[in-house]
Amino acid sequence: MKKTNKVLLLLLIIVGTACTERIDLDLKTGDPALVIYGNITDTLSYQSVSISRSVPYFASQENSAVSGAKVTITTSDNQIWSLYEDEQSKGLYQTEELKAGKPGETYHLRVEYDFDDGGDLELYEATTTMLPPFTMDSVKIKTIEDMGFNVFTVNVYAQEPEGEDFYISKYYVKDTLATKLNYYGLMKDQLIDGQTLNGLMVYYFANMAEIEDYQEDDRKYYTFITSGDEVTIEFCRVEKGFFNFVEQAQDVKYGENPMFGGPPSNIQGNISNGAVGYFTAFSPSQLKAIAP
Amino acid sequence: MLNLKFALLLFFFTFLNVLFHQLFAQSQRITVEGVILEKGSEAPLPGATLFIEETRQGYVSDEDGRFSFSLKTGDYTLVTSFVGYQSRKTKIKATENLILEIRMSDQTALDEVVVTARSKEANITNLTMGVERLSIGEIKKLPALMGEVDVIKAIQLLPGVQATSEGSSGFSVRGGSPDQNLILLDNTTVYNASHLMGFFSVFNNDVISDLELYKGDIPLKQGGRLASLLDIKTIDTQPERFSGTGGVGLIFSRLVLQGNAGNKTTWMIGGRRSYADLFLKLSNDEDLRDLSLYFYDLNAKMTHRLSQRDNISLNLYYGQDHFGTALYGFNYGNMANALTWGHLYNDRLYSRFGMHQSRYKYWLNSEIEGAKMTWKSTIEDWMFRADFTYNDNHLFNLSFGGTTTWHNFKPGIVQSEDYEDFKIDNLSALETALYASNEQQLTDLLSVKYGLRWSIFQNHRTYHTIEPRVGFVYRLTDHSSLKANYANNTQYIQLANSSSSSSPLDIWFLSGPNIKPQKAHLWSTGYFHNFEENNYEASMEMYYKNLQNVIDFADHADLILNKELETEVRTGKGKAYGVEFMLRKNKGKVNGFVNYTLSRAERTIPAINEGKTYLSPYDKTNTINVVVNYELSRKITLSGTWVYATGTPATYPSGRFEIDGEYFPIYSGRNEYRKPDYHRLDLSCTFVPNPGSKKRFRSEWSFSIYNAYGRKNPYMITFNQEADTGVPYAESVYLFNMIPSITYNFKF
Repeated sequence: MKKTNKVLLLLLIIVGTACTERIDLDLKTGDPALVIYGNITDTLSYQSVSISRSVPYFASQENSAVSGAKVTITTSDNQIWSLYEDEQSKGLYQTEELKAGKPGETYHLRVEYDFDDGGDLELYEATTTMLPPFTMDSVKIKTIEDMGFNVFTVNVYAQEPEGEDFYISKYYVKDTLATKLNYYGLMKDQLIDGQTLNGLMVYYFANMAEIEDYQEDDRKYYTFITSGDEVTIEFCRVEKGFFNFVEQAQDVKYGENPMFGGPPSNIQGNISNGAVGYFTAFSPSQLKAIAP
Repeated sequence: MLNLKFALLLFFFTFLNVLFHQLFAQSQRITVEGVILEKGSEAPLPGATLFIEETRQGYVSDEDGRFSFSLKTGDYTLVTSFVGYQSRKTKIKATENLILEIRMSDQTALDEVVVTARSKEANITNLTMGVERLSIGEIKKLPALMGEVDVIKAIQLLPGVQATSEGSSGFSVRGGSPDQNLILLDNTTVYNASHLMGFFSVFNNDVISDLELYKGDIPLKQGGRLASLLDIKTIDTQPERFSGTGGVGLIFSRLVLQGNAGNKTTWMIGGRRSYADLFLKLSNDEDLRDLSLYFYDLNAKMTHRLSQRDNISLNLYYGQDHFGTALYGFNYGNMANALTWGHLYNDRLYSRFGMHQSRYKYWLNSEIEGAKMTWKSTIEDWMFRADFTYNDNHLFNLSFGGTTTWHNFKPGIVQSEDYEDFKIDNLSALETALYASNEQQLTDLLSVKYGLRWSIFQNHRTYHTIEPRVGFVYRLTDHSSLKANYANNTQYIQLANSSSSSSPLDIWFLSGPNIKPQKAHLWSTGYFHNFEENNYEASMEMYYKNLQNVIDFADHADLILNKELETEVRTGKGKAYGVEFMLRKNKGKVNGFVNYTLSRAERTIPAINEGKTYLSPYDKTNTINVVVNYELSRKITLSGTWVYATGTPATYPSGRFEIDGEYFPIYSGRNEYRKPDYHRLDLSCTFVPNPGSKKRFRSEWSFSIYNAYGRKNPYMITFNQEADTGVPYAESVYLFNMIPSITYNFKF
């Protein structure tokens, strides 16, 4: 959707005299919701889930962490992992020991917490299955030039497996995540199912050297990297539900898109009992490439 | 069951006729019929007005310039008038049936007077309700965006009609979706009437003679859409000699040529093209040279009179938009072609047979390495229709006929060198309709119309619907009337679009085993009053519309290249109601109209908004439109329009959650808010340098200002986080500030 938004804005600027202006909106305050978000991976690490509460949209304070919840994850091997709140980082619950998930395994999350202050603990649950990894043969970063802008494209060489699959991709520049959830790459295999990907373009970056050429308002649509940067490309095959969660989150992040989007609506998660967020598991595969 | 229902209605229909015949067939009446032709070219003049001074009755000539009416025996004066022609009076002695040929002379004036192509009294006598007519003369006076007047922008000024978004050529009629409007260009469907993402419509002013908008009570010969029929006719009148009209504006230029080939054949060819891309090519900025952006339209028409009783007509339209850079391109366009044959059997029975082709197509291509592909989509209809009119002047003023349409939609095929083709299955269906309707005057005061349309839709399963439409007019005084009617419409094909303004990526889908046809029942009533010899027309109409199986889409619906599109469809109920006030002044130095609409449109769909009723995206509580023309002198006409509308419904977040420092919205319901109110003033000045000139070549200048006081009407509201603190804020994106423009028009 970021791409269509960009196209739309470009058209509006060419055709009209589109301008933006800050406005004040008087919004109602919705009932607070419990927010649970966590990913289990097959990398040996302290597997974690973060818990917080929602706040009014324009609230100036940060979303507050939820402390004191009872959090467990039960695997399909009937192991029970207990997660404890990190003392440095409130609201972040981690396994006591290093743990690694396994492709094919199912994880069941249980969070017990008295969110409504009623005196009893409410139960929030979610279940996810880790899908097998997506194996890339190689990755290249190329450049294309269009309308005077140089853009880096990420091109993947791989065999796409048969069957309906959903992928997210994340990018680390110098080992730091450069693309948070709103900038995850999204790929469905509807057009390429079971086929050999021979340099399929899966993502693009804008060139940091040209950042001044982008209008300030437009910069939010891009991730900028510099020629010579080492980029780690992480591909994850994910459940359809999580793919949709990311896609919907990206769609509504900036509000409506009157030409290509429908009316904004809630991002659909998989946590029970009215909580917001997602609990999922995936097995990332990574390759590195240098931006030319 | 269905057959029984049909038989009962047919019986009722016949019964009414017999009853009225017995009760009301009294005094000695004669029939007057004939044709209105242009002097010299002998071309028929459709839409010309006949007015009988003595009875104050008005009639309008049909598409072939023919008219017919009945009168009590006596002496009468017939006044014939038509836009751009000199009115003439004809005295007739009505002692026995008469056949007339009336010839009218071209006024040969560029600054057309505002004369609507209809009877002056049509406002109070016409049996159809919720119908709006605009002549091209009226439309051309309106101030316009970029100086280019557009017919769709003009109808958005009428009561009950809303623009879907700023500058868009999508429109909503009485709360309906844009795909519930049937847009016809010379009886051929136009699927996507937009150019340049909607800022202009596909209709070239210089080739259009007039338009009619039926806001729900659609004439029975048309159907298949719930909300409205926009019936646009191209010029039929031909000057005696080769002539042309054209214009040069900031966005595009136009040229239309007309002429005769012998005294039986007339032709017209017209086109326009935008030239933003030509300026881009001259740009010093190399980056812009690769950008291409243009659209064009071509209209052509040929009419040939085979005999006194027969004429054939060929109408062609082709238009296309292109947008692209060196690496990708996007094209879309319409085609609307028709071949028709009109035949007069005898003085009572007339027929028209037509073959119509409509096509809407878009294709995208990418040359980006690693993402090379083409994506195509086509919507195509072939329609055959037969329409008959039979008029015996007291009992029957009958229209009947049938249409059959073959819909063939190719929703999408994606092809690329590196990967296998991806194709969404073609959709096809046969939509057939039979109709019959009658209009009759029961007493001097009371007239009725009634009719049925039997529509049949066949693809994987067959749906039948009987659509009754009835109405009456009761004349309270010579200058006022009461009207009421009921109309039933069914829609079998619909657009998969969940966005509020239209995009060119149209995907139409069909009713079938899982999607029932959408239905609308419309009840309306109104009071109509003319003042000062019909110079002022006032009306008040109320309507209530009930919708069944109304379509909306699931939250976050995935509509593009989706093989299982039907799984994204949600259906439920809808209703819309409102009251529309209109006051129009037709003549004088100051003329124009003012209207006010109070309305509401809502939907209740179990799977949307937790089943709670929500506002339709096009609901605008209050709408006011003011159009004023002031003829300052023969050289200068000033015009202004002011529009005001309640802001459209909007969905804003009530809360937010955070993942890794990024905020995402939480909503408490759909369309709970409204955008700020919309209002805008446009002004124009038309300057005719030599109004009295006898020269063949005439010209005029038009200066206009769109959004004269620079109101920042929001097109969309977006949200973002402060770069430093991360606190969210809202921004309004508005498209047009004050836009001045200049256009030069000519005629020879």
